Order: sequence, then structure tokens, then C-alpha cells
Amino acid sequence: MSNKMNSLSNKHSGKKTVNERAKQYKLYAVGSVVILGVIVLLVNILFDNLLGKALTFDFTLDKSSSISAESQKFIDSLPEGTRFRIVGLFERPESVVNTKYQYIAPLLDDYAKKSKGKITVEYQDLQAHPGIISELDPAGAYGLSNLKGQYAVYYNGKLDIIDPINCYTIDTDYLEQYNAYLATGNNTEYTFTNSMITLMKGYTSKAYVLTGLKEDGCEQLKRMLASLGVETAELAVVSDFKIPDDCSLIILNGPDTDITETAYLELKNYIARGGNVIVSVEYSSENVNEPFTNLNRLLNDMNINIEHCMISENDPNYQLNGHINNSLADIGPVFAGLISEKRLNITLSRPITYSVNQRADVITSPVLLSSASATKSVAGENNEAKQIDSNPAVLNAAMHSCYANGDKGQLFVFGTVNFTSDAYFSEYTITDKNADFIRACVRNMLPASDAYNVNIPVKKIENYRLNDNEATASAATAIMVVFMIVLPIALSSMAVIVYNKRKNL
Amino acid sequence: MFAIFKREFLSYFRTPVGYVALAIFTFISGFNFYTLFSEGTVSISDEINSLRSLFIIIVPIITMGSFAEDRKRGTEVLYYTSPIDLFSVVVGKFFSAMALCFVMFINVFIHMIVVSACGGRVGIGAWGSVLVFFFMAALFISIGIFASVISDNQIISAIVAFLIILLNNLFSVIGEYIGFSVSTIMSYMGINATARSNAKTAVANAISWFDPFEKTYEFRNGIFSASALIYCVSFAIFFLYLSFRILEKKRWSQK
Repeated sequence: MSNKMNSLSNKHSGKKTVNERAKQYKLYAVGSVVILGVIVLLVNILFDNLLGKALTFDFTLDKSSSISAESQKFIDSLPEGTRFRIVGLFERPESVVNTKYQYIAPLLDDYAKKSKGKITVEYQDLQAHPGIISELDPAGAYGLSNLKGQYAVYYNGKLDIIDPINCYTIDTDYLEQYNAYLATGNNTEYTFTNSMITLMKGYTSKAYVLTGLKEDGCEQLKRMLASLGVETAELAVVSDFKIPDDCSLIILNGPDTDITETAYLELKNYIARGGNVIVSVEYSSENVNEPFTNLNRLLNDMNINIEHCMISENDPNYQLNGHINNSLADIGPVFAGLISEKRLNITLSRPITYSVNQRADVITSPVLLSSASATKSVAGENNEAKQIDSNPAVLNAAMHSCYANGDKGQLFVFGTVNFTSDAYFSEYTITDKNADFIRACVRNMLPASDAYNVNIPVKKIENYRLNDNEATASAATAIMVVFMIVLPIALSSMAVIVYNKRKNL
Repeated sequence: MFAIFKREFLSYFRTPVGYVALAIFTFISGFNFYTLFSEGTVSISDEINSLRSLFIIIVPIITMGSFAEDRKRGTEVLYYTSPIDLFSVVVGKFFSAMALCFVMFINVFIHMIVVSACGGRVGIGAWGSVLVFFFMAALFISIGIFASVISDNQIISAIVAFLIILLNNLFSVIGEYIGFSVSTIMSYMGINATARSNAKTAVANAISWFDPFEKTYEFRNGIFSASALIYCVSFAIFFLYLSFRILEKKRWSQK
């Protein structure tokens, strides 16, 4: 009886032990899952919030999605409490790849990330959030409702509008030919950082670009000037042409026709009053018959003359790709210290010479000089260069004049449009050596305190275009046949064969 | 573990599953590639990113039979009665599915070679997308294996895997909707607009924090974030461990 009781008791206690063990095991199983879940969450939160930034690496071409040291320096220099608000006037696309925002949106995110709250980035669809218009522009001065798709940079009641397309250098030839944009360089960081600088410091000078003379486009130059704190506006050369009082600089960019008599007189007075002028001309098929008589009358007053021919560079060391009209020119000794480069690009340049009658109160110096082997030529039949002077000599491609007594007013005359025209900067970008030089010239002309900017190199654009000779229609057909017909059918057939074999097993 | 891996990997090709998955992937990746190629501009990262949406179909197909098939054939008992670590069984099956993914991805590697041969560019964004593809594959395959473990039926496990992966695809959208709902409820309660807006953003951000697609978004641009990869790996480990615990429970279950 007692044995039976013992055996029952053992059996009972054995079952109890098994139950306890099962309970413990269950507790261990559930506990370990919960603990692992908590660890996973904590590790992710830790990496995301604390180490996320340190463990994020930008491998993009030219680090196009990260701000450079120059911008970071500017951001760090901003006092605490500074608030820049960058507002995309549209809903942020889910994917920005292959859109004009591809290089802009990630970079702006980086601004926000690295600015410690000084710069915020947001996207507001104007239709969904119309209140943003009155918030940013209470006076309605910018017409934000018509600026869908653009960015507004807001600081302390001031606004700057940035069109995404202006964040790129554009191939102007492609635009003319196909009426479509082809980006050649990425200026996003340059544009936004300098926009913020300008908003903070304000424009201190104003430049006027003369229009109505069949001149070249100079949007890139305007952007460069804006980054220097120089506001730009257009000034049409009309019958009642008058230079506004707030003008600090006049730019005449690649005209194909001469200035009018009225413009000559007004510009003459302007220079006499201490105004600054940049003139750039070239010898192209559009103006081979234009001697620029009135323009030369104006320049002759400052000891400079534009010749009616072009420079042919005969020294192979100066030629670019073996072209006699597309070459390098040495920076003149007076201006050698402006930038570190020694030679700059000139194309279809007219020789710039001293005028016949020299004013003693004006100092004139060469800015750009050809080699000693250069000659003068004109357009012959079929636009081929015809030599008109066989004596090789050093020819000036640009000259500078200023008053000997140190009075205000300077004049730069370039025989080439490589320093002002979109045609050049679309190919070489606005951080090219010529761009550096014209920037330095502007700084030289305007008071030092007026000219400031952060020069951020243009970043490269990823180009996924295939070689047209390789990516032919027949190659595309072959790809379709192989990847969409042959391989899927072969694999499906294998699936059917395997299925049938297994079915019969 | 290697024996399990080898057996499982080969079993994909002893059944129609591997061939069907390969055929679907080859056709869709081929279609994407052909479309880009005929336009003359091929961004491999674009192609890979669009292929990531295929996980929702491919992963349930390749993982639905992982354990459910063994259960159906009665071979599951071998795992429980053999002196082997069940975690290595889970990991072996996981790696075999990953290996199948790699085999499928050979298509894209061939596309890359074609692009390079045709003067195109395979940039860092493309390699970033490749990396993300495999890390996300790891996450979703672990989810698929988990779905296979919890159900006796292949179809049900495929549906469960499909739904969980779908949820992963929709975290951001769901976050937006829930945030909006919270904001609406707060407005009925008379709470001010700023607090409503903050609550809406907080809820939306908290939910979309789980979105692996958003976390890995920047890889396509060439910006690599270790935290995004850690997210994929850690949750993959979590789901594999969860699968292991469920198998262990079944092994020692008294019922």
C-alpha cells in the first residue's frame, strides 16, 4: 500500500517536474524572443539616431549629395538662431531619379541634416497648401502661385527664388537644336549657398546688361554676379537710353551690332562719372562686317580700340586642339596675381589695341596676350581664315583702362566672349578658369566689401546614356528576344518537364 | 547546415518552383532592361529598384515550401528527432533561398555587362542598389521562412508572407493615413493646429521608420547608410530566431 502511494507520489511529482520544466522552457522561449526583439529595436534606434550620420557615406560622383567644406564653413559661421527656410513649391516626388530634382533634393536634405536646425527644407504643394504663399510672400511681390516646381529660399522676410534648371549648366547648342535641356554640370550647391549668403548680406551693387544689340545670352554670368552680391538687370539700348543712377557696372556681352549714338553719349558720360564697364566682342560669322564704329569711339576715349579682324594663333603650344582661332592667351603682368592660372581660353578673338590718340590721364594695360607668333586674319571665302598680316607679333585679346589719378571707373574690353557668354560657360561651367578670372575682375572693379561669394566647384553629372553606335535598334531587339522570350520560355519549359517527371513518380 | 543548404538549394531545381521564380524574374527584369535600353539611357539602379517590388511575388513563391512542404511529406519529423540544431536548419533554408535569389540576380549582372559594353555607365548608385537588393532579400526571405513555419499549408504561408511584405511596402503610406486620422480625431477634440500637425508628423514618422524601402532609398544615389543595412540584417535575424523558436516549440511540444 505504502509502495503504491510512493509510486503515485513519484508519478505525480514527476509530472509536476515536467510541467515546471515545460513552463520554464516556455518562459525562456518567450523571454528570449522578447529580449531579442527589444535588442533589435534598441540597436536600430541607436544606429539610426546616434550613429546614423557618422555611418552614412557619400560615394556619389563629386559627392554631389553632400555639402562641401565651403558651405559647411558658411553654415558654421551663422549665429545661433539663424533660420533659413528652403521651400520646394511642389510635392516632393517619391523618386527624384532622372528628374531635375535628382541632384537638388538629396543635397538639400544634407543641408538640413548638417545645419543643426539653421536650415530647414520642406516641400509644399501650392494647391494643397495655398497658405504657404502668404506665409513666404505676404505682399505678393514674387507671384509664387505661378512658380510651381521651383524652390523659395526664405530668410528674415526676404525671399530668393531658385528655378531648378538654374542649378545646372546647360548645353546651349543642344537646347537650340532639340529644344530640350541637357545638363553638363551641377551647380546646386553653388546656387543655394550663394543664395543664402546674398539673402543674408543683401545685394550691394547692381549691374546692367545691355540688350537690343543682338548680343549673346549671359545667364551664367548673371548667376556668378549674384553670388558676388551683384544684382543684375537688363537695360535695352533704345532711343531714350539712360543709365540708372544705381548702376555700378555695365556689361556689353557679345553684341553683333554697334551701339547707337545715344548709347555712345550716355556711356561716355557714365564712364566719365566713374562708371565701370565690361565689353566683350568676338569675330564671328554674325558680325564679320561690323566694325563697331560707335563702340570704338567710346573705347578710344579710354585709349582702347577693337580691331576688325581676328587673332590667329600660330604657336602650337597655345593652340587648343590644333585650332588657330581657339587658343590660350597669357594673363598680362598687371593682372597675373588675380588668379593662379597663367593662361586662359580665347576663341574667335578680335585683337584689342591701343587707340591712336592716347590720353595721359588714363592708364591702359594688356589683360590677355597671345604668343609672339600670332597674326591677324579675316573671314575669307567659305568663312575660312584669311591672313591679312604676315608679321607675327604678340596681340592683345583683352585690355583694361582706368584713371591714373585713382578715380573710380574701370573698363575691361575682351576681344572674345569666353568671359561673359553662356555659349562658353555651358561647355566649361562657371567654375572654369575663365569664370574665376572674370569674377576676380568684378571684385577688382567693385569695392572689396561689396563683392563676396563662396566659390564651390561645379559637380559632374552622372550620364547613363549609351553609345549610339552600340545601342542600336537591332541590339535592343536581340535583348528583347533573349531576355523576354528565349530565357523565360526555356525556364518555363524546364518547370513543366520537372513537374511532369515528379507527377509520374 | 551546409547539408541542409545543399539539399534545399538543389530541391528548388528538382521542383518547378525554382524555374518558375527564375522565369518570372528573367522576364520582368528583361522587360525593364529592354525598355531602358531602347530609350538609349540605362540606369541599372533604376532597374534594380523596380525589381525590388518583385519581392512581394518571388519571396512567397520560393519560401512557401521551406517547412510547409516538409510537413506535407512528413519529413519534418526528421528535424525533430535527429540530433541537429534546428537553428542551423532554419539558417540552411534561409541561405538556400538567398542563393536562389543570387542565381536570379545573374540576369542583372549580365545587364550590367551589356551596359558597359554599350558605352553606358554602371555607377556607384547601381552597386548601392545591388547591396540593398540582397539585404532586403535577406529580410523578406526571413519573413517568408517565418510564414512557412507558422502554417501547415503552403498557400496560407505564401499569403502570410505576401501580406507581411506588402505591409513593409506600405509602411509610409499607412503612416500617412494613421497620422491623418490621429490629426482628424484631435481636431474633433478641439486640440490646436500646431499640436495636431506635430502629432500627425510624429505618428507618420514613427510608422514609416519601419519602412525598409525608405531607409534604403538613398543607396540608389550612391549614399550608403550602415544603419539601413543593420535594420535589414537585425530584423532578418529576429525573424529567423522567431522561426527557430516556433520549431523548437513544436519539437518539445507535449501535444
